[in-house]
Amino acid sequence: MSRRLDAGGSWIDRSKPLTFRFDGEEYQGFEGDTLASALLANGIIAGFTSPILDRPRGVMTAGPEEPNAFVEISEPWFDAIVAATMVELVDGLVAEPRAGVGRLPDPGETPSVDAANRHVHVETLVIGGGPAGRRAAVAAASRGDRVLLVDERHRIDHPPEGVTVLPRTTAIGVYDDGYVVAHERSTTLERLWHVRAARVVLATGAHERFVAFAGNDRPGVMLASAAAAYVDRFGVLPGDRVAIFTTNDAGLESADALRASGADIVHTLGVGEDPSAAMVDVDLLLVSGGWNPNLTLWRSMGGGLRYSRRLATFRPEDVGPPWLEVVGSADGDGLPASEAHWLEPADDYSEHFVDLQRDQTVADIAEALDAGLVSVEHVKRATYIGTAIDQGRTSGVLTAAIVNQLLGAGPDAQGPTGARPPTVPIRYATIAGPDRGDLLDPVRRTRIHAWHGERGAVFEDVGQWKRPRYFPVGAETMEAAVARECLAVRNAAGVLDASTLGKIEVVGPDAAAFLDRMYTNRMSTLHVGSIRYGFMLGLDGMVADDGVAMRLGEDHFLVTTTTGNAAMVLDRFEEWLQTEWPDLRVYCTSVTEQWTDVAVAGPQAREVLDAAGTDIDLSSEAFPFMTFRDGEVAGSPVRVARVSFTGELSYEILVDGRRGLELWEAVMNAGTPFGLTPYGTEAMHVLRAEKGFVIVGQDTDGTVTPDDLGMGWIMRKGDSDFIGRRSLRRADVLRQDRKQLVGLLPNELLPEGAQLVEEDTGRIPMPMIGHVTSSYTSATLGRPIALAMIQRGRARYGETVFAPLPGGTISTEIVPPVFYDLEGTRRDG
Amino acid sequence: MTAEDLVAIERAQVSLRADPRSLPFEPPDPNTSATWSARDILWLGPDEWLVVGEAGSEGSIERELRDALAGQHHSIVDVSANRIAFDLTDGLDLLASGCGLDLDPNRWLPRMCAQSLFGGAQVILHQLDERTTRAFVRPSFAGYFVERLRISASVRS
Repeated sequence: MSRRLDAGGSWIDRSKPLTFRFDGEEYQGFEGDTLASALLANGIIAGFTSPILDRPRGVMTAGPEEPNAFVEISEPWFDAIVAATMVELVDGLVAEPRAGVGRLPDPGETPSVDAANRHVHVETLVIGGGPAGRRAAVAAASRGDRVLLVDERHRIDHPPEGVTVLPRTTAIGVYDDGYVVAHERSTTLERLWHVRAARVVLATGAHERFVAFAGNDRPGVMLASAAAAYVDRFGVLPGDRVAIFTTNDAGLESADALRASGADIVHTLGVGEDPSAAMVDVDLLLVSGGWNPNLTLWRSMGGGLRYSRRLATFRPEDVGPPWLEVVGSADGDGLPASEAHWLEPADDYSEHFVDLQRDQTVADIAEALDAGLVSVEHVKRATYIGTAIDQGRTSGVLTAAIVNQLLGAGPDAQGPTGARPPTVPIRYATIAGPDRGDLLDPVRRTRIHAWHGERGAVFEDVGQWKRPRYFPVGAETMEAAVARECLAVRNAAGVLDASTLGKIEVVGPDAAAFLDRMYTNRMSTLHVGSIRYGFMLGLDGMVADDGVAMRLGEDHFLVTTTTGNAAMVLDRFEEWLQTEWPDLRVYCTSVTEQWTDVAVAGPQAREVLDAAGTDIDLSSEAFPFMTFRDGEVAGSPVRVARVSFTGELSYEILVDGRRGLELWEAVMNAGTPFGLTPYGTEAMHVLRAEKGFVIVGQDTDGTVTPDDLGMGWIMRKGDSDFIGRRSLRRADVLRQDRKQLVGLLPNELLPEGAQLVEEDTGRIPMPMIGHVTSSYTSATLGRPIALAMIQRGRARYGETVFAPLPGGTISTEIVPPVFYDLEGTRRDG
Repeated sequence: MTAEDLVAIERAQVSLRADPRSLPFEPPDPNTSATWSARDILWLGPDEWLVVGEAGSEGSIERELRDALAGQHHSIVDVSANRIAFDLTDGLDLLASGCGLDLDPNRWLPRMCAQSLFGGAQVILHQLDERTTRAFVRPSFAGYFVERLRISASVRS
């Protein structure tokens, strides 16, 4: 029976006893113990079961390669499943055995552990705190390097000076150019380290290998070096009557360590000896099948392997990235010579376990080979060997060797399967760190956000922005609020915070030529002081964004983008300027947040601006549609643009963002006698739909051309090119049956996305001819309206189509996509 | 420092794009800043700088630049409202919770500057002196920036 010795144990402090619970029982251990060593100290070597076959299992290793002893930790932190060999014992620890599969806790059930992220740069990162790692760290530090040394164990012996040492820290992934992600865990904190290292040293050591023989998974079978480690580090003797099966001399040294601590080594078995000749009664069977360098990280970076006959395993071959180096036993240094002995011959291999976590045996490998598989990669996928939580640390090389042997190939024919990060399971919460909950994605707020909030605005997400969707008054429903806001704009005036629109200054002698190429219509003919609406297409000819360009000077434009595409448009500008047209003398500068955009719309808009006080002549003659003027409004220097997304007389007032709230409040105060009403994005959507103005990304979906939208006029003729132009001559774009934008006049409100059919046959499927892109109740018209994309839509005006829906079929007439003010007279007030 | 101490400060900011040979000052080396008539010139790219001056001085900065660059292809844009600034004292360690730059105080020295991310927010970092880091962020991200600093500070151990 395993027990604590009276003396010894370099990792434990016997003056600091700890209490913990395992499987419902209370036990004692010492500070410095792992959960596994404390269990062995209490005589518990079994206590676990295998995940599939329900076989009893016990602690088999003393490190991260453990395939059996998995637990859930519920106090004082939560871990769904972790090897007991890697759990540092703390007072009050509560653990339950887990058979290979973790459990998702209920929300609030688990103690919360803070998750942090931390970036660090070093010249040398050493992974592994054994002798070779410490040597490499000291050598690098003496060169003047900043050195970080990480080790997954909670204790690093003889920590080197002048080096940042992180115990309890597992390198879970090595990536290109020395980027390494490491997971540090403690009782109260999980931290993900993002390490950028000029040089990465893998001192990841070696794992002892076991041998496939019948019953090799039974409790009491333990890797020989693990048993020695329990004696040495924890003063724990894993068994009193001990036998050993070894393929190498180092296994005998492990047995000697146990003997020195009082164990009775009753039998020693070597390769080729008949085990049945010695039927002995023992409580611990040590196994040493040789040593495998731990090359998971090396392999994940594409590092090569070569077979060593002396070690009977694979060593790293020098073909990895230049910044990555393998040292010490991970490189095969100092490992004992071993016979290449993988499995004990038998008639029945169904209890010769290879992957204990997956309950897979030599018989399972043979079955996969019988089915015709020859690659270890295929065998892995047929048997799931190596895919469990332990990632096949004990089974990888063994499986490859057995496949080679069963196929009659040499031991170097195939190595173990590839490796990918993460090397150990890691929680998404840890990866996220602080970037979860409200910080999952940045929330962007305009300068007027607080005012909107005080007015009771209901916000909606537009990209990262929070925009007021509507401003309910009292107990108003959304429907009522939107109707009120729409009618205010149509009959008096409304004001919208349009600050989120992207804004880019385009400057230089070639600015006009550049914009001609980026947009479908000609910006170079625009007069200074004027504004033009434009479409930006993708290379595929499909509408990618829309906006307006204001010509501030001969070589100076201010371009607006949709809220969600601001960054994309600037990126696209820069990409074309930097990679395709470096000859164009153009500079682009994002000024989205330089300006607050207060958009006043409605028949009373002119009166509102007058009341606010302005030196700009607002008459249509002096200040026509699609022009802008610089001047003052309410004492602030502004640029006012006469553009309209509602069809009403409209002034968009651009003001220095620092004065944005001040101007907004001044306009509100001045406008109140005229019924000026703040409105949100929902009313904006309704108002623009009444005018048939499209929203890129709502009425378009990346498969829509300007002509599909009935806006072929926006594409200039002649031979000057623009992005996407060539694609507009593709046969698919010229098809006569493409979907085209139309209006719908349904009898009741259509759901957006509803599919439309010519004839409601009642039999599914029905040929679908289009879909609804926008649908609203129009307070102005007193009826529901919709926009839709329908095949040959413009040829179908007056026809009736149907939207078969779960609650019944809605019929609707197809009409041109302009519902209100067809003559466009309202824009001048 | 704690995130609660953070107060946005206002500075005149002018974006300058031009040929580096045409500047009225000696252009700073990449990722460093220089001083020009008591203004900071932050290197943002091979032909891009941010000129930072006392609050309200953007007009005079623009005028001086335009006079100096007259006749040359350039872009001078007032971006004083496009970003706000926070001065962090002893904040490099905290910034390392969300920024991938090498902010080791022995490598990230006074006068250095860089564009990067803090969490999901674009930042320009400018080291003013041994202890003071100025972070320029878009005003719309200010709430996020301060909150993520606060959360990161609270889990530091």
